[in-house]
Amino acid sequence: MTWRKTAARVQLAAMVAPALLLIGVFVFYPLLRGIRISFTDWNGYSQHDHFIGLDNYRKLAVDPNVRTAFVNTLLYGVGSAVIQNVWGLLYALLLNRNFFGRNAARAAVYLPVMVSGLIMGYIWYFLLQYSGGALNDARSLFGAAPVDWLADKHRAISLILFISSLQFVGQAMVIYLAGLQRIPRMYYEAAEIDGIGWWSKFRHITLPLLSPAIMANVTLKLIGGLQLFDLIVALTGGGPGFSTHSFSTLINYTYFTSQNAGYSSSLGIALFLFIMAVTVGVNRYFYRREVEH
Amino acid sequence: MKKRNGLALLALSFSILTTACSNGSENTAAIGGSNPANAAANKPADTSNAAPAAPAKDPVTLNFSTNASGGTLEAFKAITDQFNQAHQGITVEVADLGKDFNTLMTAKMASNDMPDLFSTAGWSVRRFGEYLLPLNDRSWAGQVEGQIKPVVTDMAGNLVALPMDIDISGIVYNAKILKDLNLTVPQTWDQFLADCEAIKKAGLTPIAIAGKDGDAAGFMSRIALSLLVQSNPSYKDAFDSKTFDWKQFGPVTDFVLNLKAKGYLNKDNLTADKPSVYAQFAKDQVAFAFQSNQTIAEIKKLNPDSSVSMMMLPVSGDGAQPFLISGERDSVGVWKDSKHQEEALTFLDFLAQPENVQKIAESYALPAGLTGVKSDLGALQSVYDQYAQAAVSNHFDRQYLPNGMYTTLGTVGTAILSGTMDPAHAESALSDDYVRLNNAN
Repeated sequence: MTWRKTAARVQLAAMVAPALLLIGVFVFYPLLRGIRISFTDWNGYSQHDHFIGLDNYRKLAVDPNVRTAFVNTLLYGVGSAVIQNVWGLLYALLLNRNFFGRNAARAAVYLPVMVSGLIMGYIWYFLLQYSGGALNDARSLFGAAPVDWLADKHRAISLILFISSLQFVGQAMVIYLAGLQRIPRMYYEAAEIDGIGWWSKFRHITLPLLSPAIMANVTLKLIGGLQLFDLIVALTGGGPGFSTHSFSTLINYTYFTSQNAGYSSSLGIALFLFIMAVTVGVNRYFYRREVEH
Repeated sequence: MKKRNGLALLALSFSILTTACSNGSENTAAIGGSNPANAAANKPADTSNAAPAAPAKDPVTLNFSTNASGGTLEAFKAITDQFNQAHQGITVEVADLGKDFNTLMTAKMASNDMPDLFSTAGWSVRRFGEYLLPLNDRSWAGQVEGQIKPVVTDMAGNLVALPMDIDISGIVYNAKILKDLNLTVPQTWDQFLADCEAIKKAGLTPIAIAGKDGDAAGFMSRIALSLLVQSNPSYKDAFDSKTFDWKQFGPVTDFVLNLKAKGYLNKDNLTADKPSVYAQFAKDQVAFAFQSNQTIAEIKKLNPDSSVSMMMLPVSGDGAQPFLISGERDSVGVWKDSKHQEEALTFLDFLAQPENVQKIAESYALPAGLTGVKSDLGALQSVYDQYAQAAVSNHFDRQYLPNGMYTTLGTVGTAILSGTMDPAHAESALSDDYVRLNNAN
């Protein structure tokens, strides 16, 4: 019996070891290195660095560019989560019905997910460009003056949110479609016998029973929005100035362009802690509201 | 049985990991002919009937990383192909890092794992100097042009890179617009502003900035070079001693904000990319751009008849002379810790052959970096001849700022232009980076 248990444990360890090793090398080691670097003034390439204690963390607490990036990151995160979930749910409710061309419509909504964020950003940049952009060319047909769409920070942030949502709403739709198809038909039939309207059915049957899908979608979209990077790089490069930077693009800028790897690492650790806190909070909230059926 | 399965699984897992982590060269030996290095060794040279020779050296593959683009990249690739054909046992692979050059080279420097050869992208001494092999003993070292030699020579007198060309630039301008409006090429900033006013009144754009592509850096640095360094010796001394007080940067920010307030900049100065600026130039819609002469080549591709040319940087008067900017553009160095230094130097010597230097220099119509090499400068020949005796300064950032501050200038420049940063905040941001990067470099 003992020998069998030992053999089983060895077998289990053998199966888990490669994954643990890879996670250790590619996740935990970089994380620990990042924490160490955040306490130094390393420029990102020198063979030397100096320990500077909590200076980087003190600086990030008062840095106006960090404040801008933090607010933008919240907008990208919360905005993406709200827009994509509402939009994705509407798509799912619509495309869950039987009609001709339903599968083609589902594919059309989902297809942009497969395009790289960078490519999507460049495509939209060419549409929005002031000089020679398709949107301004279309406006000129009606005699309207061209608009520099990305020059105003508020408009640029709104456009980033819109384009990101347009690209990834298909993911939310697919998750909601799966959730909708999981809801037993009998609940709706019972409600219909009782003469319940569509809104009440949606509110009291669909929404509660969709809570696992909502939880998955909100978490995914929140994290995706908080980590938004490539679309910003392609559309605005974080500019004008620092006005459209997210935390992720600011980290990249600070590390590679500004050659301030120590400070960049402290920003990375701050982002990691923030995303972890938000994700845990959201998961707990939805876990409490989850409905079994 | 279960135990045997478990052990087999364990052994398999570790063997996969070991294989994944194993040295590439071991794989090379096992794979044999599929490797480019071996392919080079197996080139169809006239050796089929040769008698058994002495054991040949192991084939070597050299990595040459470059930021070159467009015609220059094509020229580097063509030269590399010729070299690979002519040198059995050495294969040079060109890694075209493009816009990621700085990021990837930063990572390579951090891990002290540099390519065998690499472009120094304007920073042969101050950024890459400690990674480069001194080249004073090469046969072509004495031929390096006097204008570029100090730029690629470190404090100890070591020549650290082979300059293929010399990047001479000032302000790119559209000669047709100036001629049509009866304007002269400005020598002072007052004349420049007067020209801008006339151009604006004619319904054209006086100055174009490609803000999305960091063009504001070139814009700010050219103005700073003229308004600060060339106009006031005390500022130059302060920059030289790394003690410049950035509260004195006001003339530059004021000048930039004045250009914007008067409507002399393109409307999309914050969001335009370089290709859109080239297109506007090619359509004779823009008069000035604070960019390198690469812009001229790009505009000529769109409109070969464009009269785009180069002018000297104006000055603010008071006896100062208009001047040009000179610096390195396509320079190549050898990593001092390369395992294949001998082969890398062979390739570098090949690059230094006159026809190859000429090929690279002509790819963007620039003067060659070695004496005795005549580069066909095309339509710009007369311009270079005209400015042969002009005063020349190194780039503002490369001469007076710590490595890394060029992009700070660009970001702060667009922030000022967008109104998201006031001049005081901009000066503070520049000062912070100046101190930090000076301490780090």
